[in-house]
Amino acid sequence: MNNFESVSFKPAFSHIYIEEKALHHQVTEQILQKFPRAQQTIISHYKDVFCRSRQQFGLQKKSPKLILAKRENACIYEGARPCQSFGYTHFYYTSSVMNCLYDCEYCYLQGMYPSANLVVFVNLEETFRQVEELLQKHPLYLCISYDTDLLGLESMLGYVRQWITFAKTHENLTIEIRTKSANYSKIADLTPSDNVILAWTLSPQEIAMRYEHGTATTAARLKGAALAAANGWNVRLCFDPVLWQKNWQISYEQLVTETFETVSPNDILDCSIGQFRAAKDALKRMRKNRPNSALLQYPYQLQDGVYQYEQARAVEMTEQIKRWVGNYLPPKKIFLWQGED
Amino acid sequence: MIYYAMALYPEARTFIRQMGLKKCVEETHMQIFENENTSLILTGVGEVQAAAAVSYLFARRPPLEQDLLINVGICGSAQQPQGTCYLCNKIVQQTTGRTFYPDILLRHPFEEATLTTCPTVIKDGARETALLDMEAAGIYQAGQMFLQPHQMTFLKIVSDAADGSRLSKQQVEQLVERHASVIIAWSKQAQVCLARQQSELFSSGEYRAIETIAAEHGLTLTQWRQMQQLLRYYKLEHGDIGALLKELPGRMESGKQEGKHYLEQLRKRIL
Repeated sequence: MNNFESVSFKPAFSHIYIEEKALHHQVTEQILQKFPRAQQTIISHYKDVFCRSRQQFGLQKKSPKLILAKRENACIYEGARPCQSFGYTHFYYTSSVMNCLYDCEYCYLQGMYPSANLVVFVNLEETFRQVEELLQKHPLYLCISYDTDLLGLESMLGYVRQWITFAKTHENLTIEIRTKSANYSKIADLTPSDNVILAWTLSPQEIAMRYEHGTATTAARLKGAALAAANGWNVRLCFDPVLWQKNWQISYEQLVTETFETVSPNDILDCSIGQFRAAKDALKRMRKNRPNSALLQYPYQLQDGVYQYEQARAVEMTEQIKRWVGNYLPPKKIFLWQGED
Repeated sequence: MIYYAMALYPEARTFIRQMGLKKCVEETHMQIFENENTSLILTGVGEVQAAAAVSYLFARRPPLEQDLLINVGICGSAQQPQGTCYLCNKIVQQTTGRTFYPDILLRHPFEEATLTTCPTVIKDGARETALLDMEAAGIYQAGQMFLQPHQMTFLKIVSDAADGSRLSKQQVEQLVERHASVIIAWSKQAQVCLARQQSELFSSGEYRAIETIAAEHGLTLTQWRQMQQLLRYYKLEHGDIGALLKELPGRMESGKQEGKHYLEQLRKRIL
């Protein structure tokens, strides 16, 4: 024990912090059973751990911890400008989990949260209550997997299954579940629902390998999307963010071809195309957290408080990909993010 | 650099000896022992003294992002076996109820426990489940002004049952000695692991070249930052900026436009 050849990072969820209020919740008990070797620490409030000052997001990503908490305040938020509304008037999002299992270099969460640790709100029933309250006022288009990847966490949480079941009994609710996982099999036994959209983020494989650490391969995501579409689910494909690299045309044309060779265009609900964008202050924090990411250190142009590729490059990429996708889908099924959403 | 903070000499003696630390004679307010990679400060007993000592240490020797602060000391516990060394994952300040959580990102050979920092020696701690000490909360609060939560480690060796019994200096030394070599070896490797994550992108030669060019072209502070951003991206994509910097022309014109023109050329070349 006296001679350490090297010290390495602890595995993900080596430590689980549990709010006193969440201690006896059924979901807490289920999660703790899945991590019998984790070091458990009782805390008063999740912010005691999650909001500590001077945390190192980049290093925490190498050994993220789990924080189990109870949601007590409002948790349904209006959709932000960098997000696509897909034409829905009442566009909202909610976060039953803060932070993600994956480690995408372009992820805005590293510019938004003070910590890379995952916070799981164990009382999903409170979110459902708030959704029902809002539904009494108007219909709702709700993105439930923005600040995390819920389907990626399905083995641990089972939240996607609960959301789908909930949506089935609330007609004027439409939910979008966005993922980079290959976990469709976890919900494949459920009957498809008209008001549930399963959305896969797609990138060329070399980009996924270089920048989307820990995610499923592009082929595996496409396989999941194809199966879901064939089973009758509403499937959305998101070429978002589109990232510039040398010879991007070859990579993205291949991706579009591979996509529609795998997933039948007739089975697709719609498709989105969006260039990389990040709010001014967020990009500053993201660069600080990940100083050696070429993707983040690209000299983006600031337009209306949002960093993005210079206009000529952005338009060229977006329009070209739109043309390729247009070979398979009608224009009304293609949504673009060009900054004016 | 590894910084050790310990309350009293008997706790530190083995560390000073094993690492060959020398007392800094120029330090008259605090007792600091050093070699080129390590500083060890004797904080004295109690939170306020400990916080003051750590602040003093870091004000005079500002830590870097790959540095570590290790607090080693003895503690009381009626529930945990005497002689065991624990790494503290939660520190409670008894007087205020405030809690502190060091980030435990690296593998380590110690058991973990909660620690409560008390203002006085506890003589009736039979029902306390946490370890009991008198410095950690102060060290954490002072340390967090200079360090990130993963840079602080708190190691406590159970010396008594929190019943008021006291150990002799020799007994404390013997107790600490049982764990010192493991703590020293682990700390060194942990610091190496952190240093690997913090490598500087530009070499000192590259920094000098960038500064020379910026001066030659009369770049403003904003232009200098833009230039750094462009070169940072280029280096990450291509691995070397030397050839690129030589490729671009020297000063082209006089006046304020020079910096702007140089940046435009650089930008065009890189993107």
